[in-house]
Amino acid sequence: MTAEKKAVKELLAEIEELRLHLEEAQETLRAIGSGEVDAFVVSGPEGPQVFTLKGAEQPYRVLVETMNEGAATLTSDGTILYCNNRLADMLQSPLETLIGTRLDSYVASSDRAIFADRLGKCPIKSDRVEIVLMPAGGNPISVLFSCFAMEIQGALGIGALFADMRAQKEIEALVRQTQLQASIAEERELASCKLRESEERMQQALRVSRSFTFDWEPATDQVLRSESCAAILALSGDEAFIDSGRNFFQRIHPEDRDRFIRMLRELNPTAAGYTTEYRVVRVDGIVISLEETGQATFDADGNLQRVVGVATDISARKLAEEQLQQERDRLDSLINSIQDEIWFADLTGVFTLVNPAGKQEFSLGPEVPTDVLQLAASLEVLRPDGTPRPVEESPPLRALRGETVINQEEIICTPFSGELRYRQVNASPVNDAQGKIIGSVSVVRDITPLKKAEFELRKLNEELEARVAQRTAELRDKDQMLLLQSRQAAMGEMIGNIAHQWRQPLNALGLVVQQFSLIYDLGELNAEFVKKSVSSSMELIKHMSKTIDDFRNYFRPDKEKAEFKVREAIANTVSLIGDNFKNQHINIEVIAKDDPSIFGYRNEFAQAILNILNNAKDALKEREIKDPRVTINICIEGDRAVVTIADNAGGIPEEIMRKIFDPYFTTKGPQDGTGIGLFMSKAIIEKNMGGRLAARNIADGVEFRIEV
Amino acid sequence: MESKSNPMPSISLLLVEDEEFTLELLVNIITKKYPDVALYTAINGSTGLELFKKHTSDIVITDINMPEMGGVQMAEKIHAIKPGTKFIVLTGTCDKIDLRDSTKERIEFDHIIVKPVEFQELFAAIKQCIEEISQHQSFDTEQK
Repeated sequence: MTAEKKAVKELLAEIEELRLHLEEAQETLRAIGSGEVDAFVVSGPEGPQVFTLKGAEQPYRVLVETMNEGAATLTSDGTILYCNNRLADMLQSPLETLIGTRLDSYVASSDRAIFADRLGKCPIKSDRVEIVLMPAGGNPISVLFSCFAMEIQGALGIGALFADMRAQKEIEALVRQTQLQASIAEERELASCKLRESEERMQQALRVSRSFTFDWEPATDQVLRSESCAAILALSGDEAFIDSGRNFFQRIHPEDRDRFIRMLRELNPTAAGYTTEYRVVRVDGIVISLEETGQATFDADGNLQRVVGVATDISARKLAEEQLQQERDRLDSLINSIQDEIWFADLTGVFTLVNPAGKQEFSLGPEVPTDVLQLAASLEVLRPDGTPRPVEESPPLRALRGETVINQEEIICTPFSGELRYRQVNASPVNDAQGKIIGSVSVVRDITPLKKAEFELRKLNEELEARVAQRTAELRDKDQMLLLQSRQAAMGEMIGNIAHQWRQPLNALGLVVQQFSLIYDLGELNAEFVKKSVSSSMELIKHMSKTIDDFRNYFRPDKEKAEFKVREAIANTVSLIGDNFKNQHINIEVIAKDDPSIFGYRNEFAQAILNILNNAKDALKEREIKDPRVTINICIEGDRAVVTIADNAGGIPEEIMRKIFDPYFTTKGPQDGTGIGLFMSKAIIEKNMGGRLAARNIADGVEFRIEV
Repeated sequence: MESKSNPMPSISLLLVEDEEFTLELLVNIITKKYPDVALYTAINGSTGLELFKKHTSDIVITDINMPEMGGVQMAEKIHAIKPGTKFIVLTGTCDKIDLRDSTKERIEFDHIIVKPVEFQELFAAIKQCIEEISQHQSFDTEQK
């Protein structure tokens, strides 16, 4: 291009610019003249300059310009008549561009309706509303918009204010962000707290379960353990938490150590997990058992990197297991050693356990089980009474039906003994924890020896009974004999007494009778002699008859007890033996202080007295006592009748004193004494009359004392 | 009867019996049978012995069982005084040997008559005693 051309063009452009300025000036003047504007902007070399027209309004304009809000005056249709620089900044447009343009063109299209609405309503109400302005430069600005009606040069105008909310928004955003951060921190705190709690819970769980975790790194040989291991391994300080593998292996019980290390060596990527048991000798010397479950990890080359896991102290469990095992062993040895047979049957009636005693008796091999029905079928089983016993009655089956069988007896010819055995069975159901029957246990005792002994005993008893009966009969016979002897002895005594009583009258009677013949021969027989002789004969006969009656009464057994006078009974007895005693020159004296009565058998009582008197007579005669004497005293002591019979025969030696009442005890020769007299007396007084007979030595003889 | 036909030597007889009625009967009988005999009676051994000492009887008829002094005891004493005295014992005891044994001097009682007394036995005993005494007396006189 040529300079000329350029000049022309520049000139043309200059002219055009000037023309535009002119037109602008003319327009401005017109606007001023019509009152349409009250300020205008002049662009000069120093930049655009605004020129206001009304000098009186200057202070307000300064105020408006220094306001932080954007402010504008609008026509009623929203055209900008004037705005301050703040608004121009907000809209990022030069003031001169803004004036004369419609304000809503800078409002975000979404807010235009509400903006228009507010503008339209502004004469009526003016409240603030948040809208978004769209500046020419781009970023939308949130503002608080308010408007009010005002008169501009006699026409309705609108004042608009825009408060920039960006700072507030930023603060709000900042606040929101701060809040968010705070809440995140809180969350984190909470989470870490929970983590701690969970950690503690785990530690607690480890402690309670007597477990500890471990983490071993073979490369460094470092072992990390949870704190719970301190108590389990009896370690204190850091050693509990941080240890070396080498150190730990040394703690393992020597018998378990090699196996444990070998097991670790054999770990490989395809078999990285393990569970094992081993013992540890703690520093305090106590051996504990650990159960350890671990998991190994390997690097890409297959080298062992880490082993982590949990070890649990199972000493208590081990102890319990050992005790259980011991218990089981004991029970086993008990069952095996017991002489009784023990049979465990399951629900189907199969013996699952039989002790050696049972196996032996039935010749069972080691291979149990044996079916109860099968076993029963192979044997003949009898009830105790000898009748066949059906298998349903067998104790194991009864127990399976829930019965408790006590001392059921059975007779079986068992294979072992080959002979009939008497067996006593006790059986009861075996229940599980819920009380359900799961089997039965039967205990069998061979009671054959017992039964045999029982039979023997019964036989023996029967024999014994027979012998006792025989002996009793013999004794009874002997007693009867004794009684008979005693009676005969008494009879003998009595006959002797009668002989004494009769000898004299009988002799006299004989003489009287023979006189008749003599007198007749002499021729002196006359009535007087006959009368005298008959009279004296009858006298003698009556006397003899009375003697007989006395003895007969005396010997008549008492039919029943009766009340009798002791003195009379004794006087009677003494009269019977009077002649006998008189012949021996024995003096009998009866002193009756009282006259007691006794309810009992009179003749028996007299017999007892007689025996004692005879005894005294014999002693006096045998010892040839000078002036022999027997004294009988009768009295009452308390409510008892007492009779004492004392002699002066010198007494009884003390060594035989306690034997004098024994039967057959006598100091006399066989023809003189039966040894029954005093025994009978004692029996009569004590057994038949409930009294007491005792003897004691006195000064010159013996005294018998009868209390009834 | 017999006694009447044969003249009796002077014979003295002592009768001892504790039972009075029996003694009375015996006295009655003996005096009836032997009216010539001098008869003395006693009711026990001791009075019998006194009488014997006084009259020295040839024959003593005595009971055994008597109070004060029994027949055996008295017999012993009489035997000591006059050994040839004849004894006729009247006893309730049956066993004659026992009675003989019971005497300390083992006196041979000439006759033992068990009660109840039979006249024939008693008379026979007395007769025998008298005969023996008579023989003895005649032997004595022959000797003289």
